[in-house]
Parts: sequence; structure tokens; C-alpha cells
Amino acid sequence: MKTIAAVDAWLTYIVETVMVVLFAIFLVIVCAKVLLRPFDQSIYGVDELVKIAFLTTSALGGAVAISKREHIAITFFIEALPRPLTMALYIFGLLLIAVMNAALLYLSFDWIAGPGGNIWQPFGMRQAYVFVVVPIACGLAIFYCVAKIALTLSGDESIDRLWMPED
Amino acid sequence: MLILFGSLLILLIIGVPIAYSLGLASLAYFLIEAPFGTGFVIQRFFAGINNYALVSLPFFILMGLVMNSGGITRRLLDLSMFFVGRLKGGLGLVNVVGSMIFGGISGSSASDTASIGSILIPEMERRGYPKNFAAGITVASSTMGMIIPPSVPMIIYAIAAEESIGRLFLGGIIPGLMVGVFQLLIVWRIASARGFPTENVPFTLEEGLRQFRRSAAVALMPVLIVGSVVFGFVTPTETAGAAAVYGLIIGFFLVGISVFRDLPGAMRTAIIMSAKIMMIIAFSQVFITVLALERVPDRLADLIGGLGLNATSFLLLTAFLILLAGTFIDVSPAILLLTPVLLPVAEQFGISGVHFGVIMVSGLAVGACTPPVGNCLNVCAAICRLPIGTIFLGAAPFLLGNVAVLALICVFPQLVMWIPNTVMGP
Repeated sequence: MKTIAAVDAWLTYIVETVMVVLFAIFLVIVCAKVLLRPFDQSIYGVDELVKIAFLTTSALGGAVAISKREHIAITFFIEALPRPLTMALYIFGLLLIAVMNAALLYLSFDWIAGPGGNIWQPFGMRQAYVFVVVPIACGLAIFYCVAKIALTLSGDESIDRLWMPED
Repeated sequence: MLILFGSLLILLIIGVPIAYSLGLASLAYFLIEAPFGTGFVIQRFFAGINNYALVSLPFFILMGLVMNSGGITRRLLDLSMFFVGRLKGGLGLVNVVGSMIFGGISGSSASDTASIGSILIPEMERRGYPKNFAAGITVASSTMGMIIPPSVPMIIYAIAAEESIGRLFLGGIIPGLMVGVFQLLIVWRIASARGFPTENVPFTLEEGLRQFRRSAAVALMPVLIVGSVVFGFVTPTETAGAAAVYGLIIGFFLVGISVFRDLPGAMRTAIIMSAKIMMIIAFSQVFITVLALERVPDRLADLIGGLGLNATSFLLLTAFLILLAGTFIDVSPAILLLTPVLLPVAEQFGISGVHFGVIMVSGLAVGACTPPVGNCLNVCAAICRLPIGTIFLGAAPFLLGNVAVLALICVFPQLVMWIPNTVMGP
């Protein structure tokens, strides 16, 4: 279990670092656009670059939010149940999240092979290069679900807090 | 349709995160009712996160996080103290005025509750205010954070409804200020009846100028943000980016926020907070596709049309439903769930999307202060160590002001539409 917890923490650290770097990049780009506006200057293709960086951080962030239990959920009802039932429903929920991500992962193969062949303008590259972030994030989410289930069942993670509320 | 709504309800009740509940319910629908359409799931999911306007979300959240720091909040409270501190129940009034200013800066009610509550609740307690009164007014006044621009829920609604962010920001000004005025009156009335103390604050021109100089850079921020969005100097996304950087500069110079020590953590929090909203947006796009396939908005419109309602009674009924929904569902998911179902019906009554959006956000703001799913209550409970039921009872008299404003904006659309129509045209 210690290995799973360590891999979980290490992977989260790496992905969060990537997200912070991407966030810094698109923050700088957007501010550069604002500064260039009075001079009637623009940078070619930056909006698309920002969009790609943002959707990458969103997809990866959605997976990391599973590891950190930060997704928004209505936990009021299951928290009122006896503890074993709360734990069972929490684990069942994680299983369902894994199933949803597995479905997206499966569907992404055809999607990448089909529409992924189109060109992403203005960069002239195949859209598949951007689309691929979805199966990567789904794979990551499945890993986090399995890790959370294992750590919860072994008692290494408590169920005192299930999912964090919004804000 | 039974599969869609039945599975969604069960998934929500058993605590599956809202984003995945939407995705799983839609997936179940496609697998059972329309297997040919499963490809839509991934396409609509991706379309949900592939939107340039949404880039403003993490920027506004980052700005709110920076503004949440104690030093900045203290300056705003000192400014509020100068205006209302010497009146009966001064600290209660400061709480409301502080939220009016702070709400315009952070764009979030929970941030408002956390930053103002952590300073004012202990101070009010020391000055002899009952703890549930101090906690109640902190929670209730924080609702203005969602209504007074800039507001993160307004941005989410604007994206869900494809409405102008600038018009929505302007539409929230009068209702937000009205909530503030109503709450000030209620505080003053209770304070007078229960003999709450006044504060010894010098009310001189010198003191006024001193307080203004200390907080002008912060207090003017909402004006700059709303002005640049409304007058189109820059796009909402660019405004949000510039506001985040402006917030960082203020934080750096005024309260010593460190770029290397504090910024990476704030950025990480902002991106995760926006990512979890993005997941709801992505899966809600799949859900909306199913609603459209099942013609749910049309059926609902037919149903409501059969009741013989007019626009005002429809809005009052909707406001009641929004208040009810807000007690069980968080603000962002509630906006993303209710907008695609209710907005098309509202449009058939000739109701503007801006008017409807301000009603929705104002109603859901009350939900953030009601048990069992009230985020502001949870934040406040963590600060003042009171049960959420006790805090809610303390907040209830002030929330009546919110409900009154909600009813008024349902009946008098001009309270919402006058500023956007005057500034940006009908």
C-alpha cells in the first residue's frame, strides 16, 4: 500500500507541476496580448495556444481532483449513513468514476482515428495531437480511482472527508 | 427520459461527484436508448472544455485567492469602518459594507465568508455581539460576492446561456446593492433593539483620505474589471488575466505576497478549482445533448404553457424552484443543470437571458447559506466552531433581505435590465 500511496503522491506532484507551468504560460500570453493591444499588435495563433494549454490543464486537473477528493458532490445523504455503508457507497462511486473514464478512454480511440485526422488551425497539425490529452487524463483518473479504493480499503486513507465542497 | 433523470438522481444521492453523475446518466441513456449516439459522449465532452471564454475562470479564481489574504481584507474593513463604524451595531454594518466591497473583488461568497469572518467574527464576539449574530451576518452578507460584479457564477451562467458577460455584470449591480441596503437596515434595526455597541472611529476628512489612500488600489479593482469588459477595451478573458496580474502586483506591494513562496500554491489551487468546474461543464454538454434529443425544454414549455402562467408568475415560480435547488446543489453545478432546462422556457415568455441569469445567481446565492449543502455555512462553521443550524438561524433574518430582492427583481425586470440597457443598449 505504501508503494501505491507513494506513486499516487509522486504522480500528483508531477501533474500539478505541469499544470502550474501551463497556467503560467497562458497567463503570460494573455497579459502579453493585453499589453500589445494599444499598439495594434497581435501574436499569430496565441488564442489557440492558450485554448490548448487550458483544456490540457482542465483535463489533467479533473483527474488530479479525484486524487485530492476535490470534486463537487452531494455527500450529505451518505455521510448520514452508518460508517460501513458510507465507505461502501464511496468506493462504489469511485468504481463508477473509473467506469466513466474507461468508457471515455474506449470511445477516444475511434474519435482520435476519425476527427483526429483533421487539421488544427492555425498550426497545421493533426487534431489528434490535442485530442490525446483526453485518453491520458482518463487513464490517470482510472489509476487514481483504483489507488483511492485500495488505500481506503486498507485503512490508509480515512473517509472522514469524502469529497470537498465547492470553493 | 426515466433512465436519464432516475439514474442522475440516484447517482447524486449516493454521493457520486456531480460531473460524473451527469456523464454516467448520459452514458446510460445512450447505451440503452440510443446506442448509435455513443460517439456524441466524447465529442460533446471535448467541446465542453474547448472554449476560449472559459479561460477567464482560473484567472478570476486566482485573483480572488490573492485578494483573500488578510492584509488586503483588513484595509477594506478599515475603509468600511470609516463609513459605518460609528453607527449603532457598527461592526455588523462594517461586515455588510465590507462584503459589498470585497464581494466585488473576490467574486466568490465562500472566499468572502472566510476572509471577513476570520477577522470580524472574533472581533464582534469581543465587543459583546452574540456569536450566532456575528456568524449569521457574515454568512448572509457574503451572498453579495456572487451578485455584485465581477462574479464567477455570472461567468459560468454567461457561458452556459451564451449571454454577454458584460451585460450580466451590469445586471447584478442594482440587485447586489439592494441586498446590501436591505441587510444594513436589518442589522441597524436589530442593533437598535438589542443595544449593540458603536465604534469609536474618527469621521474627519483627513481620516477619510487616509483610508481611501490605503485601499484605493484594491477598492477600484471591480470598477476597472467591469469597465474594461463592458466598454470592450479588452475581452473578458484578457480582463481576467490582467486582473489576476494586477491582484498579484497589489498583493506583492501591499501585503508582501511572495512570487516564489505563495504564487505556485495559489495557481495550483486556482487550476484545480477551475478544473472541477470544467469537468461539470464538459459532462453537462453531454447531458444537454440528451435533453435536446429528448426535447425536454420543449416539453417543459408545453407543460408550463398549460398552466396559464404569465412571465412574472413564471419567474416567481422559477425563483422558488431555484431556492429549493440551491439548498441541495452547489452553485456552479446548479447553474449548469438548470440553465439548459429553464432558460428556453423563460425565453418563450419573452424574458431576457440576462434578467433570468441574475435571478438564478441571486437565488442560488441564498442556497449557499442554507443547510444541508451551504458552502458559506461550512466555511463559517470551520471559523467560529458553531453548528451550521445555529449559524443558519443567525443568518435567517438577513437572508429575508435576499429573498425580498429576489421577489422584487422577478416582478420589476428594470431593476436588472436598466443599467445594461442604458450602458450597452437594449
